[in-house]
Amino acid sequence: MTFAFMRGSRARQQSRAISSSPLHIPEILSMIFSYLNQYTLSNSVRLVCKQWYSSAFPLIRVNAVLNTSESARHRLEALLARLHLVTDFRISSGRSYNYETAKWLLESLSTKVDSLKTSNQLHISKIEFREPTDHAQLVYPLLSKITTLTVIDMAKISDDVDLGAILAACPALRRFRVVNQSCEDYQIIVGTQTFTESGIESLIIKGMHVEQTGFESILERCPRLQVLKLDHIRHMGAEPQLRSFDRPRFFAAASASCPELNQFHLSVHGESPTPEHASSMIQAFFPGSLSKASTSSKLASRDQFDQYKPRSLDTVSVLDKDIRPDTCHILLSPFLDSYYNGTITTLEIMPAVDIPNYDCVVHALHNLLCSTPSLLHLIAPSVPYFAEYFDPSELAVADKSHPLWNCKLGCPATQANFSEKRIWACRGLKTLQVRIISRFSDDEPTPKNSRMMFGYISRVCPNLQELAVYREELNLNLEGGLCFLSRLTELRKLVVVTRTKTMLKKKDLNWMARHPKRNTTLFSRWRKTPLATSSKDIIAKDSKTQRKLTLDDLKEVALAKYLATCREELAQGRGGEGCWPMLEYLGIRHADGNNNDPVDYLPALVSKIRPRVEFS
Amino acid sequence: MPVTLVSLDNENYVVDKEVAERSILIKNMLEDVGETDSPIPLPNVTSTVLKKVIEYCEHHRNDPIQVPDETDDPRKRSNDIEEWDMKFMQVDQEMLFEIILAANYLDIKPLLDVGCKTVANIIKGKTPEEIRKAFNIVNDFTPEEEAQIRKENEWAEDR
Repeated sequence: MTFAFMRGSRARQQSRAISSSPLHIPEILSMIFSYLNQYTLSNSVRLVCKQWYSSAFPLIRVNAVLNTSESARHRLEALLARLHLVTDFRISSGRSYNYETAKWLLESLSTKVDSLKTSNQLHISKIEFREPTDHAQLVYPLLSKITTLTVIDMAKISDDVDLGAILAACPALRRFRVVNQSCEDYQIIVGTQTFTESGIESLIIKGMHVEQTGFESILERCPRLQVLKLDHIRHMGAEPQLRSFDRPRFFAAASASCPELNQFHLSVHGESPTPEHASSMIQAFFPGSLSKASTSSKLASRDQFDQYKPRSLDTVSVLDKDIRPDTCHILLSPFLDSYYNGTITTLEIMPAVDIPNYDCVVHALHNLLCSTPSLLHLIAPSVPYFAEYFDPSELAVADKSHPLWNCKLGCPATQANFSEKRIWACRGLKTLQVRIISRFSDDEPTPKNSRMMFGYISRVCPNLQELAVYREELNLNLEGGLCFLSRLTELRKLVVVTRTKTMLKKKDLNWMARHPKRNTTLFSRWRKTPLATSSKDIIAKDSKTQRKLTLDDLKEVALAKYLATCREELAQGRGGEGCWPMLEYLGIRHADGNNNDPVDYLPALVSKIRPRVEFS
Repeated sequence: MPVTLVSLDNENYVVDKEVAERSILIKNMLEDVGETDSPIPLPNVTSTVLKKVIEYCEHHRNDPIQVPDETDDPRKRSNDIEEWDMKFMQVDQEMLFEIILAANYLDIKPLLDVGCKTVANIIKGKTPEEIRKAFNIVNDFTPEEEAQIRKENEWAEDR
């Protein structure tokens, strides 16, 4: 048999491609350009030649700002003339709002959008409202005219939003977020527009009035929804018998209508979930997890287990005040269930307006961190976590007579406290947002206290990509141990917020420009090496002499390899980034944010040390 | 089971089936025809390039097959190339382009990705003129057109 079909049309087609440079093939060019940032695409790539210009065009985001101040009129005319280039649209009222300009602009915009649609030149894919517009009644209907939209982000609104009309008009819409930050009562209108199905994947609604039955009818037509978050919504009872939000009905409707859902949140203003509500949510999204004989134990083998495993969320999202002694074990039960604990990767504890029972939340959080190896993201910026948990010295204590029995923060440790001294199991954590407080006494910004926290986090979670820590009393000087975080080689975003008036000098932050110490890097490289799965993978003999290698031999090999890599990196000019080669954002903020903030000089200082990193 | 691959210049290469199947094109072909000893002609790949591609597939023979993901991270990175891949890609530009074309033809997504990342790294930090020089590209814009493109983004930004 021969592969004669290779000489057919497909082969001829490929042959044409192979004979030219990959830089002339649009698909390959697009792939290459997808690895470049917007600056390079706009300022270099599209100016190379006409073909590169065309290939880069869909990847370049052209921002347009709709500013309704009078002074912006000439810009607005330019914007309208070049609307066919715009992909990202931002609506802003400007500093000096002008009614006539705004009215003229919105009418012109509406006409222009219509004409571009007709000529197939409309490319606007994202629209963003950063502040309330004074012309909501004119602007919001525009949304259902721009049929090319894939993302609508309304961070602040000033009128009701017709979700039904938007979903009906924008078939390409994938993400929609609407946040009501005002005291006004704005509602989500379900609308009368009929549409059979929407491909929307993420729907986030905050602070709006929602009518449950109508909203459930929308969900029925959004089968691809992966993220559904209704945060602090207000219940709007269209049905007289429905005085409060019927949570069990809603959980059942959402899980049935949206089988691909992996993130879900529901919090209703003024209504707290009862334990029954919590149970119904867990039953809807993690079937069988609350039953005594878990489904997993009924299945004979792992294969059966995987085969019949129902789809569940990968994120548990709750309000901090909803974690009460009577709901805590229910809401967090999927994390401790052998059936689901490998699939849930994220715990999001969102801040509530009411003051929650923090003791309950913090204990639950600690228990979870110590019991869930699969946890990758912990987003709990408002939830306090006890600094004492970071004190590892007590772990080594076997009896009370040991001199280290007393906690380093100066309080006697009780037996109960001792039993809580467990180390986090979530060693693969990638995101950590948490607030640290002292449990027994006033926290102090001593170097030791800070070192303990930074040391613990960097050792236990070496794969962190995003770290945001709020701690009132923190020592950020060199001796405070912030530099321990240089062990986090994957770090992309770091935010530290504190109230301590620490005066930082260049020497305190200079370490950011340096590479981690050789042995640390060596250690991390070994750690990253996948474990051997068979005896073939373990090289324990010298291939030439067949002599068994000792540990020292292996160290030498590793060191030689490491040095070779360093030389290579330096030769390729990749050595100048300092620690955190992937860092994009660094924030060292004062919690008060006042003008006398002693860290005001920091931007200039950090920009000298890490010029390519965004800082605030 | 070994599979014989034949390059454009009629060189035969015998490789393990699992190595050959890193190429989705070859994998589909083998699935279509079932078990066979017949050599597989690859008339678009020269022996020098095929040798390189086989070297890559041999090294990555145990990697999990990449599933095309529509929800790709929009912030793709070109600096996360594995150490071995980076060394593998340290070739002259002509060979780099040949590898990319072969990876595209043979449908070896990870190799195509590494090739594209390598080219992206070459483009980074260069001016349009430097890019043209690096890749021998002719500037077909008129000075007016070039000026117009440079102005395109200026009007919209208003913070």
